[in-house]
Amino acid sequence: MKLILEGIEKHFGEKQVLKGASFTFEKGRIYGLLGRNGAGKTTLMNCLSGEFPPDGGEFYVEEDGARRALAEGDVGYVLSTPVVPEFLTGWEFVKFFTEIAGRPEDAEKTPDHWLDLVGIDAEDRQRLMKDYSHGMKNKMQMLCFLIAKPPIILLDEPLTSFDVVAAKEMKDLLLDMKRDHIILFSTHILQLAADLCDEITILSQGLLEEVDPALIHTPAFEERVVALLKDEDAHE
Amino acid sequence: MSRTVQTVRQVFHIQSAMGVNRLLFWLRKVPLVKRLFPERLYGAWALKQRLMAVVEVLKVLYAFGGKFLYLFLCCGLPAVLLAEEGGAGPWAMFLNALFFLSFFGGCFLASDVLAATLIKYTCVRQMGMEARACILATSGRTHVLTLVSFTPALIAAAAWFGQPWWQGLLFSLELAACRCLGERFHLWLFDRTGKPVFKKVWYVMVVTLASLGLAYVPLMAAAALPMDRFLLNGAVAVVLLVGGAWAAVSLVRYPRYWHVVHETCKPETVSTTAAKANAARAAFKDVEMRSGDVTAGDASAQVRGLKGYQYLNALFFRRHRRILTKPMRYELIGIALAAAALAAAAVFLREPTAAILEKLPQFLPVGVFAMYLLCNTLGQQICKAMFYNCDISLLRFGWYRERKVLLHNFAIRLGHIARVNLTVGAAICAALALGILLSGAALSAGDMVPFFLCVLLLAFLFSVHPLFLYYVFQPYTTQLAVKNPLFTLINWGMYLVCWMCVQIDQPPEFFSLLVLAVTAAYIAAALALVWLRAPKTFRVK
Repeated sequence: MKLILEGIEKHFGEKQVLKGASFTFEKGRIYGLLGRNGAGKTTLMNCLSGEFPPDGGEFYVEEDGARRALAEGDVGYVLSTPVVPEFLTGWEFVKFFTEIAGRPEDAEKTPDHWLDLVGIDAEDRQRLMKDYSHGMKNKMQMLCFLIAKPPIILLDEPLTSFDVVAAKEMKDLLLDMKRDHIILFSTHILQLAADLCDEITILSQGLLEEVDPALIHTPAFEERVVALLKDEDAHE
Repeated sequence: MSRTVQTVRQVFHIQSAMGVNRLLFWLRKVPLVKRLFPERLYGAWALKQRLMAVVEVLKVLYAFGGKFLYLFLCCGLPAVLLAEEGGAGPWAMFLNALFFLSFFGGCFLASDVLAATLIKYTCVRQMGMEARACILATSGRTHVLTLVSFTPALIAAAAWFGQPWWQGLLFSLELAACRCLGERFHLWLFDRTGKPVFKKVWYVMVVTLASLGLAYVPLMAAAALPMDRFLLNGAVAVVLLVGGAWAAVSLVRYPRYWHVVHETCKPETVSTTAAKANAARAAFKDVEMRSGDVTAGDASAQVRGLKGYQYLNALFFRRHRRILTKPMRYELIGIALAAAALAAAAVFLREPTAAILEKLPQFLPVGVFAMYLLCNTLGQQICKAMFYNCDISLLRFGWYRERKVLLHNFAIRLGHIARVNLTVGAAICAALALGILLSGAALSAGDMVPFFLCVLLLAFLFSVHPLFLYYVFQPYTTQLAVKNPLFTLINWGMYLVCWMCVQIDQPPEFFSLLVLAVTAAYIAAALALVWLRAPKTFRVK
């Protein structure tokens, strides 16, 4: 399965944020989306998740050689500020979510099984999510992907609010999940991108550009990324 | 001192820049005109400096025009209109109004120094400028402008009433002196209490009532307190002017302006994002979840036995009983008490009660408005709660926005709201039927059935209406602002139509049939629109 972006454009007023971004994302890989503040990373994710349509270009899924438009359920999107229905407890949310979006093969799994997976304490499970911390809400959002397994997962600055242990658990989970998904996440932390990603994509000047994967685990990686991002200043 | 002067100039400059940016921002919102003001104008420095000059001129013109208008409308016109032969005379009445509105009210009701403003917040708290210089640049300028703009207006007013020009000038100087004394008084109070007292509700009410009362009550009797003699008295004038000069010097030398700005200008009190977010959150405060909303029954086997969206909505409505079910109970208690009173009247005052009930069809227009008040308010509140506690988060998920899910959820929610409203409608019908039966009112089935049908259909209409508006126009943004003029317009339109029904004294015979037809058509149209539009429009903005 591939997610193909062709010439995505988006502007807000006079400011053109995306100027024909094109890229092909493949299943089984984790992509790190890097870009400077205001480069349009969140805009790109919002377009892909259907929050708002692009002004130009198209994106589609290619599966077994057949091309189709993205369906609503294809994309799972974790926002940098997590939002969960605050009138439910963690346990109730998982029960509801497994019933409406769970996979048949997971039908036997209980809400407690899922909550164990992301390390939500037994006591916290019965509390309203309005009282959850930022990190706990983020875990609940991540849990949605573990349950629904959408083929494309978009993560906007996903691990920054986690403590060290939770971040490690989440990284392991993402690595574990990647086989069946296209995972695209934006981050400012180069180390995290290098640790987790199979490929790095730079969003600069409204366009997507791939960093040579061979560079990712080399000392030259940071310099190359910084050089690419600095190009943006040179163009402005 | 040179540093202070430089800071004062910088504050002027920032103030002008903020004024121009605000002007550009609003011009860019006006249809057609907005094309003339592209976004890049914010950065066009040379042009903006010219615009700053324009804005400054506009401000001065506004100040001058405002004073003339104020003196004419609030002091001059009442004095001329209420003056009578043998009364105090229009000039004395004019001065009576002026003194108690501007000298007394103006000084005690407001303090420019203690007012929370964005410019003070920006310059002192965000940019670390000298607080005294900032106050001099902002409040100092305001008071100087007040003096300068009041002077010609008061001289003109004196001329209007046939008085010498120097009286107008003297009053203007006295007023400026009083304003300085007033500012010093507010600072003195602030030093003692640590808070701007003029913002307390009790203080505002007392001073406002005293100011308006003393300004206008004597005028009603064509009388006036001798303010002309007071203000023209040489000793009073000297005391006021010397006192004002002392207060002005004291204000310039006041040592704790930094503390004043930090205490009064906080993010939530000035017009910043934080203030807007606070105001938006406050608008949703009444629908916020409370710990008491969760009960043991929520975890009962009956609730946990439900699946998917039935489970979600069962929990949602259980936890929002405070908004929906509890008011319904109060409404039912009210209807039961009214029914008991009606039954008693029907038994003990049979004939008059029967006579009133026989006119039941004529009360239908009032019934339309009553049903609006009883049912629509509940629907609006629960829709707000739906957004704030549920949809703002779940709409982020693609599966929640799917057409079939959305419509399924709409149907479940409509069911819950309609059940509550129809219960209220049925209770009203039952109460009236009881009264009719007991009093023996001569009403035929042809009169009663359309009336009761109207009540029930209206209960359903006011269940559909708020939910339809919410789903088709989804007006709320993630920042909790309402951003859909059509939503507000239709809401007001419905209120207006229902309110206008009350104005019908003698409804025509076909009124109940008209209500039935219009209500049924509106419900059908609303449901059709939800079916067609909601999958596209029900999004978080």
